[in-house]
Amino acid sequence: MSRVMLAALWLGCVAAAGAAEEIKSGPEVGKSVSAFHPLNVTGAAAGEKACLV
Amino acid sequence: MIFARDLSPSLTGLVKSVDAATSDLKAAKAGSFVVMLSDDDQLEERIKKLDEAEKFQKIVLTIDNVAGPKGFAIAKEAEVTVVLYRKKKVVKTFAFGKTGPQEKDVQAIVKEFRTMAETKDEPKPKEQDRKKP
Repeated sequence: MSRVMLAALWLGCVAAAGAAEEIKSGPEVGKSVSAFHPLNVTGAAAGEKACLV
Repeated sequence: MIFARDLSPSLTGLVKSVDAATSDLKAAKAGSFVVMLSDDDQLEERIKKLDEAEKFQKIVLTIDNVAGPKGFAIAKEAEVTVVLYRKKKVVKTFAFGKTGPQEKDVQAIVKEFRTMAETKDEPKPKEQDRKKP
């Protein structure tokens, strides 16, 4: 196999690995969600910091 | 709940779909809200304009600090994090990078939301069914 083809194959593998990478964010499944008080822009508590959990 | 860092078109699409599902699930007492993690001074006004334009029915739009609420482990690289919870316990999470959720992701999220909201609780055992000593 030529060097160019090998390089292209390697780049393809790297790109695929990058695309498949998952982002982990948020609490774990089964964990409890705790109260917090964001600024409500819309809704019944618009203009106030209120918990919606 | 949806944590997001910017009012992108992909976020708007997700919010519209979740809002529609929340309206459908009124009988199941489902709720939904968005938490924008930002310190942008103009964001509140942008949110109000978006709400006026889209006329969201049920979903509530809010703003919190960039790091997100304590204990929620919202990753810095996550543009959008969706947390589905029931009775204050996390059931499922979804996280997306710069490109945000695509149409197929939105469909998957809404499907999970509906399934979770429509799941019935197991009935509690009646008093007379308990064995007495």
